[in-house]
Amino acid sequence: MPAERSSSKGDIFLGPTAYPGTPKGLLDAISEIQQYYVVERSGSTISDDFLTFKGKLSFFEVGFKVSAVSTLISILLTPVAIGVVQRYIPIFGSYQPSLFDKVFAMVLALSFSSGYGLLMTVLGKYYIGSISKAAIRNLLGGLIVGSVFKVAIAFILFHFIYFVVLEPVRLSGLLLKLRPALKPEIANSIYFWLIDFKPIFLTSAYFIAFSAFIMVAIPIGTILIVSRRTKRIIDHEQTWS
Amino acid sequence: MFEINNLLDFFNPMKYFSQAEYTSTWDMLFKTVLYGFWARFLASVSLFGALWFGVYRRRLLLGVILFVISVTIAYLGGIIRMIFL
Repeated sequence: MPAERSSSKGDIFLGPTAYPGTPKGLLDAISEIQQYYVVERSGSTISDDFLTFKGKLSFFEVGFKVSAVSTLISILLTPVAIGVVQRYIPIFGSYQPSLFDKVFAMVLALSFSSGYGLLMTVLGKYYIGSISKAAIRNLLGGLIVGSVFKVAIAFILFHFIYFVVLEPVRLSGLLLKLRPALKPEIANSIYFWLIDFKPIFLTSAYFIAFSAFIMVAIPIGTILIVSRRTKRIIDHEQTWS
Repeated sequence: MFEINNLLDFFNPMKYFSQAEYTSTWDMLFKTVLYGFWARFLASVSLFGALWFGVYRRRLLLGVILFVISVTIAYLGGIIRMIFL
C-alpha cells in the first residue's frame, strides 16, 4: 500500500529531548537565557508559566554548582597563595618570591571565582523580558546562596583547623602517632612549620569571603549597568519606530 | 633475525646518553619549565589563556585545563624541591 509505505518512510521520530528550561551547566543556562532574550526582544510575549518551577530550580541549581566548584578551588588555593606571600610556601621553586610572584599567586587564587563572575557578566545584555529576568534572577540566586555556603564552609573548616587540628598539644600527639614513619627531626620541623603557618588559615577564611563577594558583585554590578543601557536602546528604538 | 631485545634497546635512552647526561637533561628540563623566567612566562600565558578561553571564548574545559597547567607550573617546582632536596 503506497500511502502506508510513504507515511512510514516520512515519519520523523523525535528522540528524548531536554526538558525546556532545565540547563545542566553554566553554558547551557546562558544559551537558554539567550534564546528567551531573542524571543522576548522580537516582541513575542511568553507566558510567565513558561519557566516552570522545575525550570527555575534548575537555573538556581546551576548557579549553586558554579559556586560549589569555586569553593573547592578557593579552599585549596587561598592558603597556598597567602603562604607564598608570607614566604612559607615556594612558588616557581623559590621561597623568596618577587612582587610578580606574590601578585601571581593572589591572582591565581582569585582567578577561578572572578573568571566565573566575568563569564556571567554576559547576562547583563539579556536582562530584559520577564522570562529572561526570572531565569537570570534564579541563576544569580543560586550563585549568592552558594557563595554564602562557600564562606560558611571556609570559615568553619579553617577555624576548625586553627583551633582544633593545629592546637599544639593535639598536633604534637598526632605527630607522635606518626613517629614510626617519621624521623624525630622531620616531625619537629613539620610541627614548627605548621604552628607558624596556622594563622594563615584565619587570613584565608576572610580572603575567601572577599573572593566570594567579588564573584557575586562582578555579575550583579555588570547586569545592573548593562541592562539599563539595553533598556535605553530599546526605548530609543520604540520611540523612533 | 628479529630479536625483541634489539627493539627494546632502541627505546633505551642509556644507549644514546650516559647516566649523567640523561639526569642533567631531565634536570635542565624541570629547571626550565618549573623555575625561573620560563616558568613565570608559561604560567602567566596559561593563566591568561585560561581566562581568555574560559571567559571570552566560553570554552570552559580548555579554560580549566589551562588553569590546572598554570597552577602546576607555579607550585610543582616547590613541591619537587621540598620532597627531593
